[in-house]
Amino acid sequence: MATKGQCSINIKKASFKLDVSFAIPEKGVLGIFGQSGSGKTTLLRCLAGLETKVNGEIKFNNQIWLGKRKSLPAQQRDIGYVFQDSRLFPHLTVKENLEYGCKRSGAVNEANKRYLIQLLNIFSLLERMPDSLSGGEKQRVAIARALLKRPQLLLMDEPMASLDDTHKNEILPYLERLHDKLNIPIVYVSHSIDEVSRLCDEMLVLEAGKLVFSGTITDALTSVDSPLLNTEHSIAVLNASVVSTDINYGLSTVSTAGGSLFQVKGELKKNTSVRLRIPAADVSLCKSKPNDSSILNILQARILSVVEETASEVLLQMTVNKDILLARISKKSFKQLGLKFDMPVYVQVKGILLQQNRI
Amino acid sequence: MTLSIIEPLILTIQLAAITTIVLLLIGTPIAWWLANTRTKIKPVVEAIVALPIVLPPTVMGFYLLIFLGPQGALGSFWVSITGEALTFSFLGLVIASVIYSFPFVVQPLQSGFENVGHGLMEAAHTLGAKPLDAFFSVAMPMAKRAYLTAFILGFAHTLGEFGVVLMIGGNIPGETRLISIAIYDHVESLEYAEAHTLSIILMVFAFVSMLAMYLFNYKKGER
Repeated sequence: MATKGQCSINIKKASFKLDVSFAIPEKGVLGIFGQSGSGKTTLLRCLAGLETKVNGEIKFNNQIWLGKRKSLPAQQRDIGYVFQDSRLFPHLTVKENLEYGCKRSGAVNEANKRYLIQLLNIFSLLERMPDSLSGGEKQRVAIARALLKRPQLLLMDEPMASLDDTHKNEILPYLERLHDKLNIPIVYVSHSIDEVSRLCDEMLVLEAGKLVFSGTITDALTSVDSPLLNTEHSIAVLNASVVSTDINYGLSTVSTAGGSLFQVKGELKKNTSVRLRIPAADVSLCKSKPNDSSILNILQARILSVVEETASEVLLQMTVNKDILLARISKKSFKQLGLKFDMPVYVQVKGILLQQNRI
Repeated sequence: MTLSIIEPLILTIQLAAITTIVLLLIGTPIAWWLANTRTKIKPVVEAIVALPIVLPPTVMGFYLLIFLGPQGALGSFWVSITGEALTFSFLGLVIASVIYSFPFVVQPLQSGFENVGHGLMEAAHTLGAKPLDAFFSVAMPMAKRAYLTAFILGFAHTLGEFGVVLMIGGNIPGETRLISIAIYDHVESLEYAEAHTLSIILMVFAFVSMLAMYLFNYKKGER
């Protein structure tokens, strides 16, 4: 992973002590995951220069943001910050809000402005006052405002936490677009597995101010030493590219980085990158190859580990070629099939959530 | 209208206007500090700021007389550099009025700034605004209502001062003879017609300014 910055900081807060060290990637989304109170927002605020009394060192883009004797204030760090609660200026119109940052950074660029307004679909809101916007609209404006000053690093603090599900779905596609279109790194704080599995490339997991896991999103969601493995939303993420399309049935075949082939819905352009998200709950197992199943994706796998969870369910970690998939099955089936470590099995993948144009 | 009415009227408006402007200038940083500080002495400072609300004007006037008088700390210094006394002068009245009307300007500003909140200032900083820039582009326009309230209260309160003025200003026509003093004077001399005219003017003005303030707040609250 090419890095663009390095951050090792510690700060004492009333309820915890944050002490972390990590690299900021050159591009892509670095997710910071943790329960509330784990210090993830504090970490983001330290990066932004909004926290005082931080010790340590932050370097970004060959510039020292935090050193032994000096700390650059937020206004001198080349960042865009999207707050959980939008923080649009209520006395300014949407348009004036958008211009606030770029006027001050001197990055007024009409083409960039038009592009972002279109990307985030906020053209019709420009003359409105922030009070009259819905939560999702506010966040889209806030994202555009942060990006208009052309920052070198975008920091997002749970931009969807204050939204209900409808509005979340209204804004997620825009965030996915950002991931694909921006060539600056994004640090994305979240406590939702669904969000990070969609958006993030690299992950840091925080617990009580300590870093308990860091790695790629694929590893973070599927390795045994990651706290994200065994949750009620266990899900595997695979990066793949399109190899062929089947016009007759409206399907495409994609090949993963680990060498597995999956058939997915839609006629996708050849060679485009996609991200497959496969929830553990949508994967089932057979000991012999099923020949009369309605399920398209049946692959040979080996059981890598068994994570026992509740009284009635187990979570299985399996290798399919060099990919890792997760399956959540009932404990009863697990016992009846006599499944155990290293056993060859067939996995049936019922649901694949597909995201296009992933890099 | 006769000179005995016009002169105190103009003098009073001058005093109130100058006082209010001075108060807005020095009250702004103090109110901002009070709204944002986490120091333990904040309640002490707030209590001192609020003192003029509860103190009898004569008490304030008495101490100001000592402080501003030719033997007082500021008064003697003033005499030494200008040769003139601060007491019984227009400038002395301005100083006294600033102190006397202090809470009426600082308190609305402080609560206005508190309502702006820290979050929006942080947002301004992340968008590249330096502290002073963020203050003028975010905090001040958002505290617009607080400024209007502070202006009206400061102005109206200065207009109506009597006790402090009497103690340190006296009754010099064109210099320290304000409306409230003039009314008192007219009543003492049984010139009820003049007292009436001045009283009515003050009364109408006070009502109109309070009404303006409440109307403005009412309209804002309605949205």
